[in-house]
Amino acid sequence: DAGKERERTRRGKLPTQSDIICGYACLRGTAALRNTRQGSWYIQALVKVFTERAHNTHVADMLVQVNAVIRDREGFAPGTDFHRCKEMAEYSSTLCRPLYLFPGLSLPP
Amino acid sequence: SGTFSVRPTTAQFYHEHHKQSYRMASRPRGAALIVSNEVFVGEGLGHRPGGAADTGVLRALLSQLGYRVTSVCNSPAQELETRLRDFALSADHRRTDSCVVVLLSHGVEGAIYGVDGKLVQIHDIFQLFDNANCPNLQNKPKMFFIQACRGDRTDRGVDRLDGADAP
Repeated sequence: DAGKERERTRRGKLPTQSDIICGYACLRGTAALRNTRQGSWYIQALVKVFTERAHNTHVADMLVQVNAVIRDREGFAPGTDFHRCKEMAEYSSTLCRPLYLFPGLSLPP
Repeated sequence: SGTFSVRPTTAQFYHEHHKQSYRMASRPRGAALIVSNEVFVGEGLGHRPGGAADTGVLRALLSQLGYRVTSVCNSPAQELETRLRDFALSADHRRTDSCVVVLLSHGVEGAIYGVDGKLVQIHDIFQLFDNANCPNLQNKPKMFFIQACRGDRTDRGVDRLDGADAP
């Protein structure tokens, strides 16, 4: 009815897809690297940066810091194709606000 | 693993930042799903040693960040899609402020492998969580982290000629 229609117009619409941030370990066409004992470079970097920075840094900025960690790492596997090889991470985002995780804070509902 | 601890936000930082940012106050902050494929069947796709280490540290990180974590291991493509769809459709998202999905597997550009060597398109995964298919997560931040190859080219790197931006 008219009331419902007015309400719908007032609230507006959303795009089909939004508010997603996606971090990728590597770039299009390339391989992501993994240490067979310690795990992948990307997850190690992600855990390090989020552990140290989530208290005062929003997620997109933390993923920039993850990029820096990945950029500066080199493979160590003498005698193989992977010796001194590189990786680069990236992220894509349709976020519309800063995304702070506010860890450890118990907030009123 | 498990020997790190996430630094907590101060009440002051929260008060100075929460109005401009996504609401992130629910307890738990949201549901997190870790999909980890390590042991593949058939030829072509090798075992992924180190995958368990990833799952272990991610579990610890996400729980410390306030997420309720579930993980699924070694799923064929069809099951992987079903698990992700069930997760997206979970009614729990109505009461929480965000969600996290981590995908650990082999992959190609735009898709990841199930343990049966069949591909799941990342575009199809995002679609499960979009505003049309997942109304419970409308206006809420959805985080994805994908540890998978996007091709088989190994980057040999180039020599660094200018160290000017080194910190």
